[in-house]
Amino acid sequence: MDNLKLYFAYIGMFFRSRAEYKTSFFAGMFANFYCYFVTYTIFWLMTQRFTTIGGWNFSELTVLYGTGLLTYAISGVLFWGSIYFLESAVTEGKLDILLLRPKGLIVQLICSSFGYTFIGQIIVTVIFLCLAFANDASLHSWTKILYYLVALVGGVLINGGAVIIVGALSFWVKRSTQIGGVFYYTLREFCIYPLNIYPRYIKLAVTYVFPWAFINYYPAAVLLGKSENGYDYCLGLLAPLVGVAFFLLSLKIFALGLRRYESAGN
Amino acid sequence: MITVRNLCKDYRIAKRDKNFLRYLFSRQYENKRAVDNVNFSVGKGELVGYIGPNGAGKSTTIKMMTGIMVPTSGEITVMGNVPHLKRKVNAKNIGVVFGQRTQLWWDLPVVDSFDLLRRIYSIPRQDYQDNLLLFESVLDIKSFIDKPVRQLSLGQRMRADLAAALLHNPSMLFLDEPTIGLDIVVKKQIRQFIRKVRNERDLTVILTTHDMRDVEEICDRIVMIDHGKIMLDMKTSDVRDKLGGANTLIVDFDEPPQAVDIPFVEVASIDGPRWTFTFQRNNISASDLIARISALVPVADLSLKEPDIEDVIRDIYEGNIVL
Repeated sequence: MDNLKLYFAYIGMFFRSRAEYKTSFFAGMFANFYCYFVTYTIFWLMTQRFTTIGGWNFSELTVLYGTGLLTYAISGVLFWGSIYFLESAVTEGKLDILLLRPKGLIVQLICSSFGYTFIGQIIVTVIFLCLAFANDASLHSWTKILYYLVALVGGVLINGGAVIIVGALSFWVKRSTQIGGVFYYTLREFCIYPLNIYPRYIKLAVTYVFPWAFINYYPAAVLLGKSENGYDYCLGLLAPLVGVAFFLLSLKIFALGLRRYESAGN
Repeated sequence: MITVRNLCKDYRIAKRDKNFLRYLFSRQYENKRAVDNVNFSVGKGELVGYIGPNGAGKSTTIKMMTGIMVPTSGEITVMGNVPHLKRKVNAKNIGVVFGQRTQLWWDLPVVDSFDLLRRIYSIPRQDYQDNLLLFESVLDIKSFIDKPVRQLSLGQRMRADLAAALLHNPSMLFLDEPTIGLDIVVKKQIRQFIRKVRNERDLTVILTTHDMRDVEEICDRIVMIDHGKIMLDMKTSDVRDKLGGANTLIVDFDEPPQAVDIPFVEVASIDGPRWTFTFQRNNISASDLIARISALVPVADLSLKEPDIEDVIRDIYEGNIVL
């Protein structure tokens, strides 16, 4: 509770210190809005031509893609700015100041950078998701909506956990963001589309090696009745738990890494 | 308040290897011992100058005492807590100023930084208001409290940082080079402030610095570290009196005497009417000496030169004084 208050105090300060840069603030948000608006439009155009991709129509693809993007953007607002780039903070010894304060390091890092540019993605995605939910009568049930909200939390936790792990890698290696780019950003891209369109090993990789499919594919499949089999359906139901477990794992890795922290000397 | 026992810290440094693949996969490491079996303890209300040449291990020790770094071996307790295990509890007990690095938010006005700190440390409103009033008067921060930190001069920034470190009423204060790069006026102001809060709040203070005037004017005790080892640990006055060599008294006579023969006092040089005497404080006090000389012959003028802590410390660094 205290932490929540602190977070909003930080955001208040952020907006006050940003008041001078209003144009860049809105430009950043608008750039993201525009960029992802185009992506949704491309989906729409593609489904106009092929009607479905892997058996998923436009509004179903919107749910799949939108779930991934929305959870990514929410975790981006919270974690991305400071933790993903922890690398530079570690090499420059900037964590010293945070470690002197009686708050958890992750809490302080979340507070200290408000990823406002992600708000553009959130707005455009919420619009398209609402349209998709309105279009698909099978989704008009409270249990499904409730499940979806829980799944969203799970997705945020997986994305957030991934960002924390990428950040924590910088305690061991120098170029952690590049490693993160390959295993997180690139591999996660597969989950934009239904996984049944790929060779089987891709699905295995993004399920068991990296849990990216639990962010959006399995939950969306449960929601839309598109699970390939009963096992996939169960994975979908378990997705929020996977999120919690993965997030806890990431905190553990971060704590381990922190023990190695050797601030830059002066 | 602080006990440090057999404290060691090793840094692992990767050895450079011309064979890139070998460097990548089977890197050889070299351990560099930055802090080597350090022992000391600090009592409540002490004001300790923790000094040593660059790279001696001062900052590393401070970072371990403040919970930023984990020791390789040995023990530290700060007010009963092991800093890196009880980092958050320890953080509430201590205040820290790094002269080289601000803890304030660059883009925010000073007062907004203070407000965030009030929330982070959960400082009661009344304490917060009282402290602000005190700092406004003693550190004169009122004139720039509404300016963003990036617009402050170094002296203003340091005063703001010092205030920030004391907002939550810590019992211990760590100051890592708090006077670095400051002009003499601000330096003096900061020294006076440190003394004042130490006395008023019974603070325990550990200060690292390269400016021996800081140590001379405000520290009761000097702990010196070099190559990671404690070289010296004694009262500031003892460093001057016991290691500082002789005091010098220069006397201008109207009519030079034939000879001056006072026990424990040497005549170092005679230059016409100007005589230079050297003596040790523990054998004869300066006032005694002056009294005895002026009893012999009338004295026109005199000046007294005490050994300088800075000279003593430099001599130790350079190996001219072997401890």
